[in-house]
Amino acid sequence: MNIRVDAKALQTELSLALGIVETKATIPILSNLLLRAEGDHLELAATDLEVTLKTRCPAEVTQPGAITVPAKTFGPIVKAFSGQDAPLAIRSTAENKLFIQPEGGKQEYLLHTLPEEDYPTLLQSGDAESLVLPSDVLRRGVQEALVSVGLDDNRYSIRGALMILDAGQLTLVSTDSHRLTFTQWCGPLDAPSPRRALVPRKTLLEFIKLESGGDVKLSFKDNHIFIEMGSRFLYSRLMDTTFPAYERVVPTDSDKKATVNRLAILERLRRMTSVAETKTRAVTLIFSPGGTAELVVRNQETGDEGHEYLVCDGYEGEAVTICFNMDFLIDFLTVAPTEQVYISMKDSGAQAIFQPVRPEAEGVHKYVVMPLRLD
Amino acid sequence: MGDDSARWPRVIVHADMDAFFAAVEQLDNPELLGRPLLVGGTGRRGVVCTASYEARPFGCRSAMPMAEARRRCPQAVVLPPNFARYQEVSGKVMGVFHRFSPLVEPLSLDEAFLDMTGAEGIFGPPEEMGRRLRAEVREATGGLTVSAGVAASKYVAKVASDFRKPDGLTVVPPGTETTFLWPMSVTRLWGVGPKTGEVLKRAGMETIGDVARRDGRDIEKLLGEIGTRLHALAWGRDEREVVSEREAKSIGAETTLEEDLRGREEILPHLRKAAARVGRHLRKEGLLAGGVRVKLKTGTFHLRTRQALLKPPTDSEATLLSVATNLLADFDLTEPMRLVGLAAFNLIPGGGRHLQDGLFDAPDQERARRLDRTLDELRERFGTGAVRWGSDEDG
Repeated sequence: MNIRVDAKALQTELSLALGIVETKATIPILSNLLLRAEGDHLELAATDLEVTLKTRCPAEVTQPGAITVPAKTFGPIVKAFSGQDAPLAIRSTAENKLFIQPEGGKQEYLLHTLPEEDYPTLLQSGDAESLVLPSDVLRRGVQEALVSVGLDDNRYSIRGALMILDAGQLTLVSTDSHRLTFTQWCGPLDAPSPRRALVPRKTLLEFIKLESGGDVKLSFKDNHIFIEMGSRFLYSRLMDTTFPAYERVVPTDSDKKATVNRLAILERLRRMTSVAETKTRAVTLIFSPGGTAELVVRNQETGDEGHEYLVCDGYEGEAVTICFNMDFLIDFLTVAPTEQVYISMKDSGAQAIFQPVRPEAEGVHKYVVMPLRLD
Repeated sequence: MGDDSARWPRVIVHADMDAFFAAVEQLDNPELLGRPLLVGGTGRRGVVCTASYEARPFGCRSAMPMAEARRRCPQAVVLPPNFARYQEVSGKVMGVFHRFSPLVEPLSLDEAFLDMTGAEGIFGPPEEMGRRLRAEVREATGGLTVSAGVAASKYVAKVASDFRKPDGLTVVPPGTETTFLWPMSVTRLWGVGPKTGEVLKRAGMETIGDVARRDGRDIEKLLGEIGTRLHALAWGRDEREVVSEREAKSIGAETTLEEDLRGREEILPHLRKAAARVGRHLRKEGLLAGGVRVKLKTGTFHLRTRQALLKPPTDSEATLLSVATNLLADFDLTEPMRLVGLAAFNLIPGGGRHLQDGLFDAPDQERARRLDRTLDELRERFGTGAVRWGSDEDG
């Protein structure tokens, strides 16, 4: 392999690939990146066997070839040189090293490599059933869903988001068992057949990092999802498990409804964060029929208190007092894109729904939160 | 050094005294040094508590009937156990452990986990920590040896301490767990006794590597929920924390049994009774438990404990029992047991606290809580025997 490549362009793609590489890889070859020079480009691939990314950047290829190189050495070196304008000369040597040198520079680096044959075989989407949708739509849905996705120490079945594709509909559902996000987009979507897929958290996080704009092509084959955006290709295994029956925890009998300014309530909650209890993060919301709300934080560990007041833009129903983990509210309010949000509640013990106020045509986004209960 | 230890997400030490009871006897009576020694019941039905390393080549093992051990090694010196003395020496050993870390989780008189994450600045890299710990135990006890394993998880540290026993130190740096574990027999996995071992063997898995290379879901299908955990352990993954008892105060219940029990099924009813008593006590005092500990004493008088943190803290009998039941998997239940106990620790006042219920389990938890309260009231009025679990009637 012998190429000449723009360091900045390479760095952009490399930073995406580095997100995939597991720092504590138990199989040594997985700490490496696969580099393949052919035609007019350099292809980079990284995998942790669950999630795989293939991407490419333009390169002058004098001698095609493929090799694998440790991400933890190759990454920082390219990053260091990407601040300079000089293109990088990269070639494999007879001693199985990778030689890197900025053009016209005296610096040179020789990194040890492993042969391409040792790298796991990468999949192709091939003849898989596929559909195309605007990447911004998928990105927004994923961002909204990620708020509620269970973390690694949660049950396996909730460490991902449920993606439902149907004619003209993309739905994503996620939960960490205390809160749930249901987000749905309706539009021209040519789904060949209805499909439910459970996509792992890491795949969603890596997708968000890929630049948006244009269309995204989704394909499904052999229990894998393939996501293609321009020259970037991300794929992963789907989770082979049953997502909890989410329908029954989305309440339909909430009769107290408040409309509030999103930034106004967010600002108040943020002011109260330092006072709240570190464990429960409890904040009590007291809504009165007149449309005023009081926010109260009482820290039993320190004895500190905080009170904030808010005038709702609208309120329906009787008074209600309800207590939440404030981080759950801040998470939602930070990603909700609208000026106002809508809060539907029943009583202090039943789950409430938070929604951005927007025309239905722009999609549904329901954020269901279980309140804290006073023992 | 900094670079090397920076790769350690956690530094967990498992320290295990070598043939503890026998070693203490040899320490107190130097005439016994270098001679085969059996500590245990000397009566006709007595069993061996500890066999010194000199007696082991003859096939003498703890839990073996004393008569059998004597037949195998007639020249062995036999001594009755002196628990008060072992307790005293154990106190010194634990004292040393506490000089190395505030996070010490004793598993028995002679065994503990230490979380030494972040202590590199004081004690040096993990290898050096193990070396110093072993040297200080030897010095504080006047010559007893301890074997230590150092790794990034409890499970790997525990396997490591046994690797070069006696008087050995094994360090398994993160990233090398699989190289270390995979050649070992599946019985080295926590929770795999002879029975589970046989199931795995029949499915073609003899080594830990065999288990790791299978799909986790296959193991789960084969063994149920515990299978997922075994698969994670086979990859050296074990997120459990070292649980030290921060507050001395705890609420416990234990039963000494007339006959030794064997196996999970025989132990469970006693654990259930203990959970009920502890739960009731917590609710009466208005306390929540932040941790639960299971305590078993073997037929050979070895006390074994395993503990877990409760997040969020609870006073629910059902939660105490379910966490305690999970902890049973960490004991070797092939040994006969003579005492079953459960204790709640890290106690905090319960009233007026906010609790986060789950979206999916809220109705069940609320029901369990109401049931606990109702049973408490009935027992208050009609006596503790007034209401009992149907499952307690069988045994």
